[in-house]
Amino acid sequence: MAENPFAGQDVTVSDNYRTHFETYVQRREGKGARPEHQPFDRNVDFWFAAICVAVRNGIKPSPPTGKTYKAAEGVALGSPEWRPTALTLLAIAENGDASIVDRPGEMMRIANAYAHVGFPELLEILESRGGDTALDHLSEAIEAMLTK
Amino acid sequence: MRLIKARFDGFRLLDGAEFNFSVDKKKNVTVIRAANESGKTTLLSALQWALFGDEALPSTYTTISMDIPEGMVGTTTAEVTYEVETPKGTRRYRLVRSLSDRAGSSSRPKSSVALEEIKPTGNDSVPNVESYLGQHMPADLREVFFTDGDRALSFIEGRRGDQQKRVRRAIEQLMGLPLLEAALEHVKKAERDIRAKADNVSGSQQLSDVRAQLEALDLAIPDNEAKLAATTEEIANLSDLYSRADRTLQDALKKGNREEIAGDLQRIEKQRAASEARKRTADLDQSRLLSGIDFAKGMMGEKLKAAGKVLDQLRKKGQIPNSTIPVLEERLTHADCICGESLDPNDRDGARRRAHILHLIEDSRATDVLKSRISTIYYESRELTNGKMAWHDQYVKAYSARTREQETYEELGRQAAELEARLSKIKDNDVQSAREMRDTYLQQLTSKREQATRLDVTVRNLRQQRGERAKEMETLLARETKGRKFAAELSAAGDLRKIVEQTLVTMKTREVDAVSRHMNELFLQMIGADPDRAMIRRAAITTDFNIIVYGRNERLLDPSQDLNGASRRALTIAFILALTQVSGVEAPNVIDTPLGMMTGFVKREVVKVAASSSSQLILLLTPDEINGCEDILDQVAGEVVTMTNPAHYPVMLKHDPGTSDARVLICKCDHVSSCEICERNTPSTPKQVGEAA
Amino acid sequence: MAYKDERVISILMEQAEATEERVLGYRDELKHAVADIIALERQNKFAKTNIAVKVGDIVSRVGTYLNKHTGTGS
Repeated sequence: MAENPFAGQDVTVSDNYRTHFETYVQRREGKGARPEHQPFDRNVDFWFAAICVAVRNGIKPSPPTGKTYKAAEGVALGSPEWRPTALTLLAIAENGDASIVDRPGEMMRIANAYAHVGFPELLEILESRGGDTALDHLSEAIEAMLTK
Repeated sequence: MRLIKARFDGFRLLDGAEFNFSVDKKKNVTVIRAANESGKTTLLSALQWALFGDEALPSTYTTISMDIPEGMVGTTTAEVTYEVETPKGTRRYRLVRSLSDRAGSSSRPKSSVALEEIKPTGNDSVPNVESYLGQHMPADLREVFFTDGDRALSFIEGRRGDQQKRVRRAIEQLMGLPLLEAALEHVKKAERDIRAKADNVSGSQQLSDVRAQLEALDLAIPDNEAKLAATTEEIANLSDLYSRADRTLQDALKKGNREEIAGDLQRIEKQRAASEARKRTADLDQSRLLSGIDFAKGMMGEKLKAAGKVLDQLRKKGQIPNSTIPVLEERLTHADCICGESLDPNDRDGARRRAHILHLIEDSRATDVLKSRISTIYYESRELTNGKMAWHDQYVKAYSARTREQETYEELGRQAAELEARLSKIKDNDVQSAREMRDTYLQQLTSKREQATRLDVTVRNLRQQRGERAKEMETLLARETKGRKFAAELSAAGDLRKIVEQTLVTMKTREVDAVSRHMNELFLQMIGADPDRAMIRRAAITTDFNIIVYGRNERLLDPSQDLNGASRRALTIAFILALTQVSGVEAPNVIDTPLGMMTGFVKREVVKVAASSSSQLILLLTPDEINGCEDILDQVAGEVVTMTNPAHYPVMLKHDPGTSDARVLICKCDHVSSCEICERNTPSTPKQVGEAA
Repeated sequence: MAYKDERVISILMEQAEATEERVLGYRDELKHAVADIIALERQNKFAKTNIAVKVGDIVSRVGTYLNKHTGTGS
């Protein structure tokens, strides 16, 4: 995308999921990354995956309530390049009106709301991995979702 | 700070010795050329004594000249002129330090010091000199800015725990972390005091209990943290001992007739390490699929399609594409329209058509920015809405690559175990004891690691408890009117504490990372075309302050064992330069014999990189070190002088210096010339001067 | 001035910015307090003062601000 409309926005997440970011995201300062156990490179990747899960499962979006925190800055959504486009399209689909592209704040609210309802689903998968690795368990679950 | 000049009288070999330092920004290097035993290290000590005072020298160090007979008094004086950048411009200072000592006395007397600011209107003497000096050139930074090639090696050699400590100390001092730590302690104390006051005023038993718990936690947390730090250090040392013992074992194995099996085992282990690295890469590849475009396409397909429809409708309404203007404009440059009709302005119909097109352009221009944005999205969305969904195929591919690699890894493990078993059956005392040694270390290491994990959990738990109790206290206080004031103060204290704590953590991680990256850059530049380069991929500083080097396939190398002497020195100089640069402190880098053991490419690159990374660089070099770098020094050195020890005549010096005093002679000869004073005996000076160390 | 002072200060301010704005103007109050504490520590390096008391005063200054503005509609 030529420019990232989300650059000035915040990725806001319920405080309840803060520790999960620490568990599943590789890029934590001072720790060795293990993609097998931490399948996501950056906080935004984890957040985006939650959105995807929510969309795929057709869950109604709902914004985070209670104590929240900033999990990432919108700037981080600038890469990969297609991601702002995907989020914009999600907002258009949700709103039914393309003029929403002019309102990044509203688009971000939609994305955050999807992520908020996607997290329980995503975590349900991750936290039921038993003896499996997070990467394998999640990949299999996604595979199942996509072939459904 | 920039050094301008220095003069030393009666400082060991330096008597009446004057040096001018280059302050030219383009030629920021000063070279003091001197053979061994000609005062280089003395000059390094003398500069440090002048700037940092008596504590910069070992207590047994005698400053006065060796020529002074036992019992007689000698005087040592150092005079340094330097300048400091301040927000109000450059200020220039002159520092004089002096002491008188009796030859043969067991302890060195304290020196006295005077500092004056040099002003156009005359010099202005400065009171409380040491505190001013501390501002101009903090003593904490002495060992980083003033160093010699050998001492710098201690950052990567010796006991692992000690190396870490040195690296950590250097970084912490340079980043000013002790200041933050002091601030943290004071905020914590304020917090404790508020709690105590609140407790006194309230008289509530419950509050008292919570406070007692908090006090206990405040003691327990640092205590456990210290234990954890100590354990981590022990782990570092044990890992070191373990890898050494393992190496001894490998050597012992090689010695006997088990050489072949040992060789096989080593080869297998190598393959295993490579396989592990590949497995990791495969893991990463698969994990990336969970953030990739095909994942998004698959998961969000429905919504993407819906959005696509909305956009398509707009397109059908003619609102997309928004690229009509350029198309229309372009068409106006032609004589006919796309439809084949004439657009000739001289023709009546043509002129009418032109007017129509111009009208269309005007209309399109009126289309607002919004439309342009929507158009952009429309075009960009195609990548997401069109094309085949390839996630499944990619997943299958990544998964099988991982499985394959896992199998290889396990198979190699089985082979290694089998070879180990065969080896263990062969009786050999050397091997036996080496193996026992290694296994003992491994056992200790395992137990220490477990201990560290336990401590880590304890510390986390204590911190969590602390947070809960602090909250409880605030809640209790907030209930009573009197207590509210204290509750507010406690919140404030807690917030301030967190700010300082987080800053410390950030400084440590972020800044260490910055030094690490910078060191790597400088280091790779320095060893660019060295044969070692082929096996070295990158250098880094770990979060626990180890300087490490990676080889191919991310294999960890031991800098003290796996690097040659030149690369080891280059690495430590890169570290020092990175540290001084990242710190932002502007001060001279004074390095004694930095190029020892270096030749050819690496040596030249070290000089280039050091010159461009320092604000002011003072190099104390032997003629051997200069050899091969003359052209670079031509470009970067603003001042060059030569120091000669007259005692080297007649063995090493060509001409009689006319004195046998124990004091070095200084001449203006630069790195390529020589004179009556400094010309040395070996043919074709100074190229092949054989220095007697 | 030695050390990378601006760097330390900017990170401190960054952290202060990330702190909860308990009442209007609270973050600014924290920022001032942090800056004052660092200045005190710096002075204390060269001329020892009763810094513990002074830091205590700064902390209670922020506390007083917080207490005063709590429940006053901000």
